[in-house]
Amino acid sequence: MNCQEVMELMHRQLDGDLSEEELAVLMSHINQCPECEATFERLKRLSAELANLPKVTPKYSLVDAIMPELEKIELLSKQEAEAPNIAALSPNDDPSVTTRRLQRKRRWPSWSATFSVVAAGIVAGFFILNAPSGFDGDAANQAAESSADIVQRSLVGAHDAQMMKTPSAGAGEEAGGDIPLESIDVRSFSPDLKNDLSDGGGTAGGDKSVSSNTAKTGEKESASAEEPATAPNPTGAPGAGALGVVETPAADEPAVGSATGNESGSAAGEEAAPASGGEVETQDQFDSGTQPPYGIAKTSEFPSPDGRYVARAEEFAIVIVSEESGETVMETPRKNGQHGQLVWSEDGTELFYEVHLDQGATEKYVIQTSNWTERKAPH
Amino acid sequence: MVVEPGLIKAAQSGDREALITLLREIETHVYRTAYYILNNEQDAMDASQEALIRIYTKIGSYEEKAQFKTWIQRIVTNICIDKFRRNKPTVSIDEHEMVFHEKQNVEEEVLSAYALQDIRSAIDKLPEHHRTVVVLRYLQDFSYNEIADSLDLPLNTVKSYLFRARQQLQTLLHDYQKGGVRG
Repeated sequence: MNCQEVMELMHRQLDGDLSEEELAVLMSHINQCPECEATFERLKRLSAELANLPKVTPKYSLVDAIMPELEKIELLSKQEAEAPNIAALSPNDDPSVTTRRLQRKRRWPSWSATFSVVAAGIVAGFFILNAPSGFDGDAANQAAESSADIVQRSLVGAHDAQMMKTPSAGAGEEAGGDIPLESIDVRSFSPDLKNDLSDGGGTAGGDKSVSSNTAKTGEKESASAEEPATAPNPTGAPGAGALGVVETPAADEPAVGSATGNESGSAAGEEAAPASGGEVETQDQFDSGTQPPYGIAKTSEFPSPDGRYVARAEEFAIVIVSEESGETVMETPRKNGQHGQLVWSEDGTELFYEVHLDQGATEKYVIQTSNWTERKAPH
Repeated sequence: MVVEPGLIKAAQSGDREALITLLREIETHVYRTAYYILNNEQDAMDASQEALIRIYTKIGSYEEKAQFKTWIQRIVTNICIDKFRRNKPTVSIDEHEMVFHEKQNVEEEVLSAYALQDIRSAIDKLPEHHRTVVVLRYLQDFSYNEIADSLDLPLNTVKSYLFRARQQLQTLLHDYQKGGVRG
């Protein structure tokens, strides 16, 4: 038996797969062949180390975290069983449809491919913006929804392109400068694209308009956009300030400032202090019915542009309440990190938010109001 | 992990409490697999939550002819491989360069244990199927047959993946120890 064949015996021995005869063959070879002996020693050691890898456990109960979702699934299946006619009339409530949609949405195209979708998004954007407010009915809803989907894809594509540019845009950008990127994309995308469309700007134009828009408004917006994410006590302890206000440096966003830990906490506290006066004012403004520019609320509550829902960030979840009934329509599965940067899409069909994880990474999510599901948004 | 067959039956027959209890019993095993395949806590949390939801909705389709533990590991490994597929470089598994790759001073090496971080980073460099086989073998203590059932792979393929993965891990860890580039 040559050394190559013995090698297989060694591996099988590590897995307890050798017969006594095979083991005898292995041992007799090893006794005569120092190289194989050495190899076997190393393999045994590696195997022992692999067997001793830490038996990690989740930080919190995963079943608890998915409980709201499980209850929703349960409710939907009951509804379906009790009232098949209703289920047939509203396809959005059909869990199988939901599942299929989820699967489809999670297969994001590569970012380069999304450029081609941008053009379709422009058309769809027109459709949504120009749709008469009174029009209703299932077919129309479906159509609007699917076009919103397309817009979303193109938004994401543009956003990705933006992220690609960020590093080269230079360190001149303020630490907070890229926080509102996403919100600016969402709010200003359609109007800008319309302009570009009339210029014949097409796909490349869309990208350009978004970035120039960001450059113009980035600094000004950053102060106000941070505000809503701040807890009701913006002047509070450095820790509390740091959670919502300071963008935690993420590995893939080198343009974000390098301030970390206590330093950033105190900086955030100082920054937030003068803003607190403004917040009260904005609250009044909002109460008196004045819509802040672009429909972005300056409070810790985030009404949807169509006024149907109010979203707010809680400690480990996003909660969305129906304005009409006051009922909670969606509570996201618990996530380990500070929730913030809530931004509604212009048509109110989607809510974007971010989770700042303990390890310093940022996760982005999108909630779909049509079926109350959420998914991860690409960075 | 042994889940009581009665609990599975109850869960399958629509006893929601039983199903939740069952999910609680398996959540750590689901998470552990996801954690070592994805090498990232947050992704592992997401993937295992998704796996648990899928188990919740698909419990009716589980058939007793398969082991329950391989059925759930199939679900979680599929999610990890499909949904969290990453475009990151892995080492090429080349048989030739692995056999008697280098002469080493065994004694010196045996004395110092590999750093945990090095082992994790080496596992992370394996191609995904090789990595998955290693995880099921060492974190779930699965046999060749159980791995083959979970991954729907022929037995010989499982062995060959596992053997090659160990060879490759050894090479990578040896390089790390000699001050090679990590990550």
